[in-house]
Amino acid sequence: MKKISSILLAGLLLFAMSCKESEFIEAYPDPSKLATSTIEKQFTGFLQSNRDYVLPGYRLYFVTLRTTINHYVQTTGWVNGEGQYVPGSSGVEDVWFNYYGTLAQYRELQKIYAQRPAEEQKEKKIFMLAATVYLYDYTQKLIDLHGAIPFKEAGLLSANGGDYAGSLPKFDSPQELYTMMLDDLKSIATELNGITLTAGYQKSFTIQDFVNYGDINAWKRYANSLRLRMLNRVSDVESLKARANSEIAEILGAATTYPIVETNAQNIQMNVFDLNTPINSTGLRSALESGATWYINFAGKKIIDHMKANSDPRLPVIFQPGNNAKGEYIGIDPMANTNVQTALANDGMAAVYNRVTFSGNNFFPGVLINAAQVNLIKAEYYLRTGNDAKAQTAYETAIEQSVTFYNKILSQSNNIVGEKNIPVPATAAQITAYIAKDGVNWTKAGTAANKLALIADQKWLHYNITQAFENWSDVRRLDMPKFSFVPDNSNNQTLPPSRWTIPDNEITYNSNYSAIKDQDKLTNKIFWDVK
Amino acid sequence: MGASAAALYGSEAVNGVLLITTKSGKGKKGLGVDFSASYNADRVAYLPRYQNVRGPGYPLNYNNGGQDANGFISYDTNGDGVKETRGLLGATVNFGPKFDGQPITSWDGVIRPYSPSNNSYGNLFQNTSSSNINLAVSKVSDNSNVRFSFTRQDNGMISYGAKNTKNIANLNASFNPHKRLKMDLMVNFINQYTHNRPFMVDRMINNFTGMMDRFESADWYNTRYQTSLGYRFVNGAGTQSLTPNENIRYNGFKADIADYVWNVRKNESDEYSNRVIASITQHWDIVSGLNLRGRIATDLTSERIENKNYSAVPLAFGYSGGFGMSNNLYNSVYGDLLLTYSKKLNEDMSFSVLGGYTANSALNTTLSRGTNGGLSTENFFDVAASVNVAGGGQSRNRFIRDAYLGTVNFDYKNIVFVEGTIRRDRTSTLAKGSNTFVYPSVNASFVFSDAFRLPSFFSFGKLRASYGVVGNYPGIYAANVAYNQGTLGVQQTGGSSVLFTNLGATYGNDLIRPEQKREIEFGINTKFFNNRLGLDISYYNAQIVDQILPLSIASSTGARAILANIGTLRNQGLEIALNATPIRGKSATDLNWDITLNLAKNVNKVEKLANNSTELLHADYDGNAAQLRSVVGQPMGDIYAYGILQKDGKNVVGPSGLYQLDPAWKKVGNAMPKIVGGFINSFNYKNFSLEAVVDFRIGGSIMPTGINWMTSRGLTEQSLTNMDAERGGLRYYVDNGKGIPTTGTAGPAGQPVYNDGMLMDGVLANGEKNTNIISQAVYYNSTYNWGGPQYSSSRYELYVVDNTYAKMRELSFGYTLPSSIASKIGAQSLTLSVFGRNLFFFYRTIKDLDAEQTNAGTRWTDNVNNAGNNPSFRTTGVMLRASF
Repeated sequence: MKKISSILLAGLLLFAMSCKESEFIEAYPDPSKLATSTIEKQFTGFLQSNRDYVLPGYRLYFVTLRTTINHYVQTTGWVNGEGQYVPGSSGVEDVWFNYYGTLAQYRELQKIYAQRPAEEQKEKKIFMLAATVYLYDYTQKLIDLHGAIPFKEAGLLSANGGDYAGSLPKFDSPQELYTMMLDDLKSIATELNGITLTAGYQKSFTIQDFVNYGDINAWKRYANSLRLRMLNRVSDVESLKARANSEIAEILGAATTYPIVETNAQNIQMNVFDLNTPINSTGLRSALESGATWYINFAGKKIIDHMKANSDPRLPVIFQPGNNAKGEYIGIDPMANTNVQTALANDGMAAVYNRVTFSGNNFFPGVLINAAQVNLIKAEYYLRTGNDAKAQTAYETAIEQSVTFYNKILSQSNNIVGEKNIPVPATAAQITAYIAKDGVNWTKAGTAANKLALIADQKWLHYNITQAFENWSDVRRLDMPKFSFVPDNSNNQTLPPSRWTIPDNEITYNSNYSAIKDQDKLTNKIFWDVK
Repeated sequence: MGASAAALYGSEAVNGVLLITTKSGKGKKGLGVDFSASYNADRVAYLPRYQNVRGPGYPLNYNNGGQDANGFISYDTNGDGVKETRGLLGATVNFGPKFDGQPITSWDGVIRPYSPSNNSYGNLFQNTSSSNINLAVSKVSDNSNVRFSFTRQDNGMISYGAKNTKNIANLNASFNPHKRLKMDLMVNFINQYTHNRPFMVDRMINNFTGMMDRFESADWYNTRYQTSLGYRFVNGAGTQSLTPNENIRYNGFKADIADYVWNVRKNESDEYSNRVIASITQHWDIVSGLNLRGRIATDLTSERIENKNYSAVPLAFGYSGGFGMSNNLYNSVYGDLLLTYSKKLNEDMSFSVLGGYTANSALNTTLSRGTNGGLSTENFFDVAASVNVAGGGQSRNRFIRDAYLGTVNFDYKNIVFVEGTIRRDRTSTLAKGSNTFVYPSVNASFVFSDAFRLPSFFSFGKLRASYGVVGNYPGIYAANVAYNQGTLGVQQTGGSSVLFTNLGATYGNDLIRPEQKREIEFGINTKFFNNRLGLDISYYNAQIVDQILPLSIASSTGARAILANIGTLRNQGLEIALNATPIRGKSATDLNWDITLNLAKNVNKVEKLANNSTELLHADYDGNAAQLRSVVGQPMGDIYAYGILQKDGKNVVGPSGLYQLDPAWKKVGNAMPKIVGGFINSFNYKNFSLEAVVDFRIGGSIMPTGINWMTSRGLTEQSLTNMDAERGGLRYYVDNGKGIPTTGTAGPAGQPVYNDGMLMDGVLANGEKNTNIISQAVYYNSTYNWGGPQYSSSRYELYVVDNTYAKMRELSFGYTLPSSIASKIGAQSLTLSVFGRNLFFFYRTIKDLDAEQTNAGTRWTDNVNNAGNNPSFRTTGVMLRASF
C-alpha cells in the first residue's frame, strides 16, 4: 500500500511540476507593456515626452532655470556665490536627456509610420507633419543653448535594432541644422495647405493632438511662426541675412498661404484641462515656493525698476511686493554686497513673482509660441527693413497682447497657495498710458538703435521667466538689455557664459564629441550671435 | 566544489553556493531544550576627525560678504536699531573666526558663547540596543525526531526612531513511517515589523549646504525642526507662518539638516510582513541501492507598508503631507525529483548515478496607492484625504525556471573520487528559441595520504581538481523590448481619453545570450601532526563569457542604457587557509589555542569587449572629475583622475595661484584589493573561552569624496594647516590679485597683511617660478571641491587612497558554569559570554571613516566612492546559552 501511494506521489509530483515550453514563452514579456503600437498612440507619446519642459515643470524651474538663465538675464534676484556663472551640470543634463528622450519617441514614430502600408501613410501624413513641426521647435531651443548637437543620426537605436555601437551619432553643425529645418518647415507649410482629412482620421487626430486639438490651421500658424522665429534668429549672420529677410517678407506678405499667430486666441500652448491628469502645472508651486534661501522666486532689480519707472500695467500681475515691504516693489541688485542681498530676501522685503499668477496657478499654460512674441519679431523685421510705421504698430500691438496674455493667465489661476492679495488685471487705459511713457514710447526713442533697444526691453519683459530660453537667446543676439554682473574671480568663468557646454554623459559615451571638442567652451558664442 | 557543485544548483549559484543546514533533532534520545538570550548596545563610531578651532565664515582675503576684519557680522537683537550683537556669515565654508567663547547670535536666535558645540553630526543619531531570545525544544525517538524553536528579536538601529522586531517560529521534523520511507518537514514562519527604516544621509554628506559647522549643535536641529504647532520649520523672516516669531532668520541654519530631522523624527513608515518558508521532502528506498527523493517547497511573503508624511504647512497656506499604502505578495514554489542508484561493483569500487528534474516558479505582485497633491485634512492619514485623484502603482513579475540534471560518480577504495555532472537549464527571462542552455562539469579528488605511505607527521592529504560551466541569465523582463502604454485622460470638453505609448529610457535586448562562467579549480587539503596543523590551498581560474550588464550609452543614441553581452572577463585567484593548534590541551580543562588564518587574492581582468572597445566605463564621477574604468588586458577597477600639468618636469601653477590640471586622464589607483583575509584566535582554559576575529585587507583604492569635501568646507583638521603663523602660514599682502610675501604689518600702499598664506611649488605657464601666495582657505576650498576641470580646480587624485586596514571584527569572552552549579537549575550546560564587534582598528590608512563605510551595494562598482550611508557603529553585548 505504502509502495503504491509513494509511486503515486512521485508520479503526481513529476506531472504537477514539469513546465511546458508555452509557459516559459508566456512569462517572458512584461505583462504591463505592449509589443506593438500605432501611429496615433506613439504621436501622443512623443508630444507628451517634453511636457515637463513646456509646462512650468518642477525640475525645469528649480534645477535648470533657477541658477542659470534666470540669472544671466536677471529676471530673478539672488545672492552672489562662487562658481555661479558655470551652468550646473544637473540642470543642463536634464534638458539634454529630455530632448533626446523626446527625439527617441519621434524616431520611433517614424519607424512605425514607415512600416505601415502606403494607403495608411497617406491618410495619416498629418501626424508626421505635426510631429516634425513640434520637434523642430524643441530642436531650435537646444541648438540655441549648445550650438552643434547630434541630430541627423541621433535617436536611431531602436531603428537600428539595438545596435548601440552603430548608433553613436555625429555632431551636426548648427548652421546646417537651421538651414535643414527652414527648408523642411517651408515644405511642411506648403503641404499643410493641401491636406484634407476624412472625418474618421480628423476625429482621431483631434483626440490625440492635445496641444492644438486637431486644428490644422493652428499647425499651419505654428509652422510659419516657427519659421519667423528661426529666420529672425539668424538675421545677422552674413550668409543667411538675405534669405532671412526675403523669406520673412514672403511669409508676412502672404497671410493666407503662410498664416501666423496674430492674436492671443491663436497662441500655441499646452493648456491644463484637468488637474488630475498628467498635463498640469502643479510642479510650479513646489519649484517657486521651495523657500527663501533658494532665491528662486525673488525679482531682479533691473526688471522691477524698469516696470516701476514706466508704470508697467503688468507689474502687479507678474510681481508682488515683499510681505514686509509695505507695498513697495524692491528687486535684488546683483551688484550689491551679499549681506544686503541676503537681508532683502530674508527680511521679506524683496518683491517676488506674483503668487496668484505663478506659483499658486496649477493651470499655468505651457507656452510654445504666442502673439506678442510674433509681433515683436515683426517689429524687429520692419525696423530692420526701414518700415517704421509697421514696426510701431507691431510693437504697440505686442505690448497690448502681452498685457492681455498675463491677465488671462491670472484669470485661470486657482490660487492654490491661498494668497489673500489678488492682483487686479491691467486695464486698456493703463496700456495706453504705458505706451506713452518715455521709456516705452516709440516716437520718443528717435533713432533706430534706440527703437531696437525698446523692442529688446519688451521681449525681455514679456518673456521674463515664462519663456526663459527665448529670453536668453534674444539677449545674447541683440546684446540688449545690457546687464552688469559682479565678476566671480574664484572661478575660470568670471562672467555669464555665452552658451551651455555639452553634458558629461555625452562627452563620456559619444566618441564623436572629439570632433567639436575645441568649440565646446562656455565663452564660445552660438553662430547667430555675431554682435 | 566550485563550478561543479554549482552545476547542480544552476545559474543561481554562479557566484558560489552557501549551504545552510538547519539544526535537526538528531543526537541524544529524549527531550532536549536549548535556550539562548543576547543583548547588545550600538554606539556611533568612526566619525571623521573634525576641527574645533573655527566656525563658519571666511576671511576678507577670501571674499567680502560684509564681515568685519575679525570675520563677524552684526545683528540688532534687541530692536533698538543698533546692531550690537555679533553674528556669523551665512556661509557653507568654515574658514571663519576662531572660537573665543564670547557671546554671539546663533541661528536659533539664542545668544551663546562662541565655542565648539561638541554635539554634531553624530548626535543626530541615537545610541541603541538590540536583543535576541531563542528557545528550542527537540525530541528524538526511534523513528522520528522533531525540533521546534522560537526566536524573538528586537533590533534597534542608530537612525533615530528606527526599530525592527521579528518573531520567528521554526519546526524541523523527520519521520520514518517505514524502514524504506523517510519524510522531512520544515516550516519556518517569520513575522516582522519595521518602523522608520533608516533614512538616507546623502544630503548631509555629499552636499555642501548640509554639512554641519562646528559651532551649531545637533540639539538645536532636534528641537527646531518643527514649530510649536507641529509644522515644519519655517526659513526666512518674511516667509508666511502661523508662528512668525519662530521663523529662522539668522545665519547658519542648514535646511538640509533640518529636513533630515523632520523626515526622521516626524514622518513615519511602518512595514508589516509575514513570511512562510516550508518544505516537505519524501525519501523512498525502492530497492537496495535505488532511492527516489521528491521535494516541494514554498516561500510566501505577504507584506503591508504604510508611509505617513505629516502636513508640513498649515492648511491655510496650502496642501501638504501625504499618505501611501501598499500590499505586496511574493510567492515562490519549488519542486524537485531525484532518482539515485548506487552500487558496489566490487571490493574496491563503487559508483552511483543520479538523474533528476527541478523547477521553480515565482510570482511577485505589488499594489500601492497614495495621496496626490497633499492631505485635504491635516494629518488625516488615509487615501481618502487625497487632494487630487489618488495615484498608485502596480507590478506583476513572473518568473519560471526548470532544469534536467544528471550526475555520475565513481569511488575507488575511498581514495579516488571522480564525478561528472550535466545540466539542462530553461529560463523565462530569455526569449523563445534561446532560453535553454546545457552545461557540464567534472571533478575528481585523490586522497593521496591513504594511497601512499607518507611520513608519520603527514596525517591527511587530498588533492582535488574540477572543471565546470555555469550559466547566468538577465533579470526579470530586462531583455524584453516593448512599449509603455499610458493615458493622459480627457484633455478637452466632451473629449475622449488620450492614450499614448512610448519607449522607456532603458533598452532591452531580445537577442541577449546567456552568460557562461567556465571555471577550473585545483585544491589541496592537508593535515599534519595528527591534525594539529592543517593547510588548504586552492587555485581557481574562471572565464566569464558574454557577461550581461546594463551598459550606459550616450542619450543621443535614443536610450540611456541598454542590456548587452559586454564581453569576456577572467577571474582568477588563490585562497589559502591555515589551521593550527599551537597549544593543545590534553584534557578539557587544559589551555588550548587554535588559530585560523585565511588569505585570498583575486584578480579580475577584462579580456575582450564587444564592438572591439578597449575599455569599459563603470562610472563617471562629479562632472568628469574622476572615472572608474576597466581596460582590456588590465586588472579591473582602475580609477582615473586628472594630475597636475607639467612643464619640463615641474608643476604648472595657474593665474589664480592654484595648480593647473593636466587635461589628460591619469591612472591614480585601482579598486581591487591585493589581499583580503581573516585571522581567528580561540583560547580555551578550564571553563573560560576567548575568541578574537580580525579581518584585514591590503591594497585596493577607494575615493571617499564626502570626506574630502569636508576639507574643502574647512571642517577637518587637515584644513587648519597654514591658517596662521603658528600653523605654518606665510605672511603676505595682495597687490593686483597676486599675493606678495612681506615681513611688515602693512603693504607698501597700506594694504592689509594676512598670515594664512601658502605658496604652490612650481612654475607659471611661461616657465617663471611661481611667487603668488594664496590664502589657505582658497587652497583647501578649491583643491578639495566638487567637479571636473570644467567646473573647478579640484585635484581628485588626492581623494583616491589605498584602503588598507586590519580591524578587530569580534572579540568574545565566555565562561561556562561548572556542571555542578548548572545542574542545580536543571541545565546540562550554561555559558555566559560578553562580546564586542567592530571594536577598533589595529591599522588603517584612511582615518576619517570606517574602512567599510563605502560599501553601499553588492556590486563592487558601487563601493568605490561613497560616504553616504548611515554612520558606522560599535557593538558590545552579553549572551547567555543554556541547554537542558
